Amino acid sequence: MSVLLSRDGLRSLRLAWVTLLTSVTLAAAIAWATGALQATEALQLEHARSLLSQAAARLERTQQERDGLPDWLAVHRDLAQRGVLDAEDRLALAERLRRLQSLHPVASLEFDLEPQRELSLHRASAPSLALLASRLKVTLRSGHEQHALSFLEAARATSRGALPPLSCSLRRLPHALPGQATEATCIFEWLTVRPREAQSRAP
Amino acid sequence: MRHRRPLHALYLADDLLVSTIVDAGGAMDRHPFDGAQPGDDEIEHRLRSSSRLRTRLVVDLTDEAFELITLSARLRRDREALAQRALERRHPDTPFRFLRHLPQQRALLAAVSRPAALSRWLERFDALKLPLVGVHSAALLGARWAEGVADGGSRRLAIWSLPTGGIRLSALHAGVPIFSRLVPRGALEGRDDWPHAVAQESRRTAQYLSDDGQWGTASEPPKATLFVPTRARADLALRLDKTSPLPFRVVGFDEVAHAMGLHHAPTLDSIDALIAAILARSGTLNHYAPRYALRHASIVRARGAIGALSVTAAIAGFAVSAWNLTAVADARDAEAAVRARRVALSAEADSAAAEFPPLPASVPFLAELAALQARVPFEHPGPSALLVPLSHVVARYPEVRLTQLAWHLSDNAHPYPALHEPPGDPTGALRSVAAPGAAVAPTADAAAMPTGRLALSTLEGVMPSAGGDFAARQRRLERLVEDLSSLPGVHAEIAESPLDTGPGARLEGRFLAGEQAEGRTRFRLRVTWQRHDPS
Repeated sequence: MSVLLSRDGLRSLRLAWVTLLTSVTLAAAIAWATGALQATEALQLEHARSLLSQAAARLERTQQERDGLPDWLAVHRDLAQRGVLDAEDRLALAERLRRLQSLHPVASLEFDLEPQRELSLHRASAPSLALLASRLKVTLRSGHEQHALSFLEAARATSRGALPPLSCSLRRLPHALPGQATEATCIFEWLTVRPREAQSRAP
Repeated sequence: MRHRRPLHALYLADDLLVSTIVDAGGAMDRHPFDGAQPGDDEIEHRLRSSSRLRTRLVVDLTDEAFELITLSARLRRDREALAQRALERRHPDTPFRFLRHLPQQRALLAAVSRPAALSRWLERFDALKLPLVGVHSAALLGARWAEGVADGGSRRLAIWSLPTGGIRLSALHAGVPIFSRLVPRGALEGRDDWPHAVAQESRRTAQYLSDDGQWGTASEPPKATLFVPTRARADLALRLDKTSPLPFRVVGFDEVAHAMGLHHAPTLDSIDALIAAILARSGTLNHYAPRYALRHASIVRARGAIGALSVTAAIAGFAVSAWNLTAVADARDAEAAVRARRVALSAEADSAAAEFPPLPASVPFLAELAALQARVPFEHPGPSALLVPLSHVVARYPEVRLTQLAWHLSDNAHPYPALHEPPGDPTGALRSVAAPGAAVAPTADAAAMPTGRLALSTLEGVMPSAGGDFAARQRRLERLVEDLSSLPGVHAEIAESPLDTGPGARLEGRFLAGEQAEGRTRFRLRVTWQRHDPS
């Protein structure tokens, strides 16, 4: 070892050391460069696979949309015809109830329409739609429960927007006046649907 | 024959230098220089032309002394110190010394007693930067190799024919060299017969060793082996048989090479060729070379090791790079395939989108609207869907009169809607006191929006006491419940019976003599209506 570390030894091995250093540096550099290139290619491949997944998802979604469009259009047409997609017209509702009362043997009619609110129960399945509900409580008296039921069904059928009933109660009133032997109380939800952005812009 | 690397073997005798280059295949290029002196042009040219080959110098000089000593110390460390001290004391003026420990507390001292004979050559080799890897004694090598062809006997004499015309006599005891001397050509010249002269010198050496006691006290005669060029072996053997007083055996150099594992060595006509062939195949212990004489070999070895390291690093780098580039190529191929697949999928998606009819709203809006419509009972049948068929069934029981009912939508089978409490208990002689069944709950609160899967209803009615026939009244009510349950999607049960005779309820009775149990009793039913789902 002392021979190798002597001046003569170091001078004689200078070229060998330089060659070794060059070789190691070159090997490390080329290995690093190709490794970096490989890493870049791997990232690009990963990105391409991600785009492929997105394209596959888009195709699947488009095919599902194409297959589901007839049903969706039918739903839209139905709801639009029933006024579910329109805004509430409370005055029209009051006038309609009043008109129905004149057409049915209903002795007395009271209703209470609460302020409109948004139901958030189905936001996950329809995130861009706002399901708006106004609770309507109708209390009426008639001579027979059949008259009450007919009035309520007519009120539902002629209203703009969906009016599904939540609950109803009917009872015979003892000692009641003629034509008022049955009291019916029903609670409805007046449902309308609006796009959420339009809803947020609404005053 | 398998050789590792080329070797330049130099055989140095008193007036002779033989340069033999053994290449990787075992072929020899032998060049003797008679009367060689350091600095001769021809020798310089030869050495320069082979200055990159590892070089071994084998000396076979007259001025080489061998001595067997016995060490009294018992510890090995002490014996080594004693032997080293003896070597330095006996040969203080030469750096070319060699010590070999032998069994039975003995040691063999060897030295080039006239250092100038070797040092002037080593200086020249150093100037030429020959990669000298060892300076060896031909006497010691020959003694060891002679053991390879030994045929028994503890006392042996190995006589080697030298290219100078002289002979070297080496004595071995129990396989260990104990003495060696060189008889130059001049000492043999002038005699009538060379074999006879060899025999005389051998007998003289044997006599000296026996007289000196170095050969032990065994009575058996020593065995002599003469190593000669293969071509001369038969003739010399014949002539020695006639003249030698010792039992002689003549061995050719090829036989020695064969014994040393060189089965395909070329015909060997001299001991220097034999030495070159054997040393080219396997290295051996350095005898005389001081450290400075080997520095160029160390440098060459270091240069070779560094070079090998450089090549290894380069190969490793290129191997890693090749691996990486292969991975890059694979990744690019895969990426191209993925890209082509993505383009195809996108085109297919565009084609599917082109089939869409004109839309009143965006596709997501329509999809969400459909999803919402599937979960929200926009179009629920309402209470009439249950109450109208139910009233038809009740109409078949004229004694039953419904007084009130409550109905509500629900997602669960409980709770049932509550009823208005009647102003007073119906009359009757027998009544149940404890409130039977589960308590009814109020109607749905403002935050709830059930899906309408179920409609729950609570009915209250009255029926006559049937003149004290409580069992008949009970059976009539149960029949009504069965009829109601037969309606599609309807399940009815008694929530509050006119008379609960179960063991868990409390029963009171008050019968007076001559009094008929008259009046009307109240009952309550729970009715569940499940909406028919086409899916």
